[in-house]
Amino acid sequence: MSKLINQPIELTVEDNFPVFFHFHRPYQIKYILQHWREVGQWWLGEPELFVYQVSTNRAWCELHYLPALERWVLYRLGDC
Amino acid sequence: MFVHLHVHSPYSFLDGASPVEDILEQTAQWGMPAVALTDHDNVSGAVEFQKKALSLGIKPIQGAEITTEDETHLTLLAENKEGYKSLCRLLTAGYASNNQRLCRVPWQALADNSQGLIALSGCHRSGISQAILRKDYQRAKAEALRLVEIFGMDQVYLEMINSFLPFTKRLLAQTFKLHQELKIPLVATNNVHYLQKESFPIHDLLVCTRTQTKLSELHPERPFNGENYFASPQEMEERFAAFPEAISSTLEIAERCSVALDLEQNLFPRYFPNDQPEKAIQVLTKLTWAGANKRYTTISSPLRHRIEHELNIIEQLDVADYFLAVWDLVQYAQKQNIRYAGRGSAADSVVVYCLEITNVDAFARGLLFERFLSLERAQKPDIDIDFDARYRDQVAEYVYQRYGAEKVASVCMFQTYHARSALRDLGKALGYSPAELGRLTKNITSIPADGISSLLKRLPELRTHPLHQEKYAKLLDYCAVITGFPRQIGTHLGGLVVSGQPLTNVTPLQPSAKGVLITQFDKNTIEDLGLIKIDLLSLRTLSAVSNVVQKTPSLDYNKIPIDDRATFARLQQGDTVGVFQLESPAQRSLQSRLHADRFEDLVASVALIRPGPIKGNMVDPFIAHRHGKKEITYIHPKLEEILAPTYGVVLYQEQVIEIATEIAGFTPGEADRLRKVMTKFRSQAEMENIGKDFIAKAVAKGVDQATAEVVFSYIVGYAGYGFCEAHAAAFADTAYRTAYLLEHYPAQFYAALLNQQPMGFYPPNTLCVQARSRGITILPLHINESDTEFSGEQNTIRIGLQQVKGMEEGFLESIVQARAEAPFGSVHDFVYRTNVAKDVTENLILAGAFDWFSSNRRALLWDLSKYYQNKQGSLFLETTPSNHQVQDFAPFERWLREYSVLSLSAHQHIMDFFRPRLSKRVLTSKEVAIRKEGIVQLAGLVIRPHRPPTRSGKTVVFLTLEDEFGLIDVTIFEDVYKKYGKIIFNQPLLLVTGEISRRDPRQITSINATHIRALT
Repeated sequence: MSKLINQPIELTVEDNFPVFFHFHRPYQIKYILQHWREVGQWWLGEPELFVYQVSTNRAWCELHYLPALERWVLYRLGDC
Repeated sequence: MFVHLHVHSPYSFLDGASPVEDILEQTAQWGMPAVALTDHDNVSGAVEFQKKALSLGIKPIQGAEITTEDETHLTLLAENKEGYKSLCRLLTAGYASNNQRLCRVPWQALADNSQGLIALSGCHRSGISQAILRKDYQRAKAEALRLVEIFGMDQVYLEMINSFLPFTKRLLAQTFKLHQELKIPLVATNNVHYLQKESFPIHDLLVCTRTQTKLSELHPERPFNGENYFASPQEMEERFAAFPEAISSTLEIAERCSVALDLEQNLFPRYFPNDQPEKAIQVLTKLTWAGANKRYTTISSPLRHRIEHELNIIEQLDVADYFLAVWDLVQYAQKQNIRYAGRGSAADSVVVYCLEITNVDAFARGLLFERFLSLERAQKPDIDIDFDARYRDQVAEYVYQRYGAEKVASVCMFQTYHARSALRDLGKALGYSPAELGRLTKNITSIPADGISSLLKRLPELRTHPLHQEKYAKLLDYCAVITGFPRQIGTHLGGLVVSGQPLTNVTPLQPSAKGVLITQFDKNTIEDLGLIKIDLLSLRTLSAVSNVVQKTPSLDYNKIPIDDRATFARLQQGDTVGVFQLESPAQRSLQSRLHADRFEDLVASVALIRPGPIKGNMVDPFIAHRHGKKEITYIHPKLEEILAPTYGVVLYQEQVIEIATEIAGFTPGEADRLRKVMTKFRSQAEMENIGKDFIAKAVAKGVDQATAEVVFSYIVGYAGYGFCEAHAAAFADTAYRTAYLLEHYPAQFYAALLNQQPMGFYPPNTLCVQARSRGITILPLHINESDTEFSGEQNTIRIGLQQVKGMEEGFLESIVQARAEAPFGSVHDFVYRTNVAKDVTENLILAGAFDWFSSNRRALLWDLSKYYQNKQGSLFLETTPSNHQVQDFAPFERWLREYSVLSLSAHQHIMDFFRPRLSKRVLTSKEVAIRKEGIVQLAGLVIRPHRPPTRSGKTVVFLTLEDEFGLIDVTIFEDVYKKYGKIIFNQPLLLVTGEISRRDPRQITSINATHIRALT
């Protein structure tokens, strides 16, 4: 089960990979399950999206990174 | 260092978004030592790729991404020349494996043709990747082992592509596992489809075009992200930081591969394959002298020297076999009574004239052989021959049979993106409706896709064009990017290649839409592979000529006198509608001014009415000099010898060669290279370099600097426009002979032209108007009297049955067969005894075919349905015509309906109906034609409005107005065009007010329009 969050977050990156973020509580990223990049509806001006599905110390999360805006988003939060 | 080994160019047809050149420039910039080209199921870019790569010091690796019979992808690289041959054979086998013109390479074919190939396991659509994605590791392992079995352990690499797709991580991990288990080495690629990430939208649009999807729609082939670009070595090293050996493999593979295309060979078949190679030149020599004895009454010393010189060059270039092959071809045509005419630069050759391939005496004309063939040019000969259009395919079939189907193929041609096709395809992908696309492409002429913006600014009729709107700005940008991209592969009109070895050694063969096998290289690159092209073209004029000759036993076409006064008199009047090459308004005007009285004038005419001489303002000086109205001066005495035949005007490419030779001491071959470079005119810098060379050499020969500069300026002014004199002469020969037929056998000739439509400059109705003006009666369609074709007798032309809209071969046969038993007695008799479809019978009625039963066409139509209903197979229920008093169509409607099914009218012109409504001030074409000055008003049907390039660069429109009496040409200068542009191109009938052109009193009357309105 996962919950749609879709909130911006501050995230720490090391060697181009996400390692830590805070959303009400701290989340340590243990490993990256899946990672891909999407272009989205570029013809409507949608920015490119990097998607990370990660396992953290608390839960499974789907993080989005928008390189054009240099912004991280906690998109989904699931069970561990 | 990293090397890209999986790269797509636009030759992947709607899947590669960056030109080969750009990819190679980037490769060089990044210092990559090599790069591979792996287009989908073809190697069409191979020659361009290899030549450009080598020029940049990059090793080109030829390859392809093939589709196997189970729809999986496999990347193959040619390790060497043998590998390239294997690749060609594989692709050919792939296309031959099904009827859908798709490449699906059978695994057996891979096993049979694996030599010299390196296999990279492929992208996510490969057999291995598909198995991994289905979580079937054992299957993936089996696929990998299958590759090893086919290609050998040393020839297989597991391809890894890290392009950040959702399944990438799993693919990479499992591929690595396969590598560890099976010891198959890894290789990293990026499955490149475009140069930069920013080019992704173009790629997505092309994919949408290919898959017929809109951007807003999903499709499995749509790219998920923009990561398949030509990444830098650093980026690739970062992506494969976990698999460094995959990166080093790329260099290892690059080092193993050698240049695979051999661009130095001559593959033309030996004419005598079982004899010594020298036999070909010996036989050619014998045939040439035999032909020379036939063609010339005496063989002078200069002629002998000329023939020996040509044969010597042919021998040195080792192309005697080619000449014999073409000679053999025309011998076949002669035996089969198939009319032909050689054309192009081949007419520069006396040998070709002696072999009866062309009808141009290159010796008498002083034509330069080096324009056609020279040692320095190092190009293969290329002979073009026009054949009677009806039999061209029969001649091609002879070639296939003579040399073997595996050694003959048609040359392909690439349909590339131009303005309209780019707008349509990209607009559709962007989601525009058909109606919107129609509006966007309306009035966009045939220009490159990157020329739309400038066209919108230039043309007044496009002032309110929707493409000006901001919302289409991006569309125009996208169109500009794909300008010239190949969109699909098709068949070159007449080009055939013949090889001494199986063609699949040098090019894959694939079926075209027409069903013939085509090469994957077009005419621009096929010669680089060592193949020589013979162009077998269809010319309907020759069909028309054959038609006349067949019907006129007294006529010997080959013995037509070259100085017939009546023929020249007709030409001098500009009365040349129907004459090959000389019938356009510009030509008719020229003929009336030039007053040609010798064959040379016609040769010049063919060369003069072309964009170059018109823009270069050569026409007026030529005419003035020709008639002694202006003194001819030469700034160097040697120019007089060269330019005297054309009255001081540089008209022919051969003259450029001679000038370069005589003034600057260029060798004939060097001079021809000069001509070629100038014809292409690639860059200003290149032109300046050539200029420096020319001037320096001229000065070294004693010509003063200023004179050398002026002479070079003549050549530059002419650059890019010149016509080959030999070609002009070949065309003029046919032009003169058709003018002779027009003069002496008009009814037969017009009928023959009508039978070969569509052809020529004018529509069929104009030919009828012309015939009527010559006193020839056009007899209407008659169901019992009309032949299938138009038939011309003494002073009449009968409309043929095939002219009727919808008429098919089967219907014609049925009519002829039934009629042979007994003439048709009525419409219902016709319906009963033939298999003609109802709609075509309706058209026959409307065309007047049954007028002799009843002139009331509406009444005939009225009963038609009943006849067809009562026809049940071979049974026919007795049907009596109804007693309804049906009134016939009103005269104009009757005429209009007749015209709509015949595209012409036997008796009347549309202006017959409008004339009574017009003021008496509106003159007929006959009345205008006799005036030499003044303001006139004229009305008529608009024929062929067109906008050729002009010297001033301003827009001028030319059109012809046709009325019931004839034609008057109208010129519309820019200021008038800006006001009435929209009407000119959109209205069928116009009322034009204008001033009679007083440019030249001898010129046929034409009008410079001042006011135009539609005639409604």
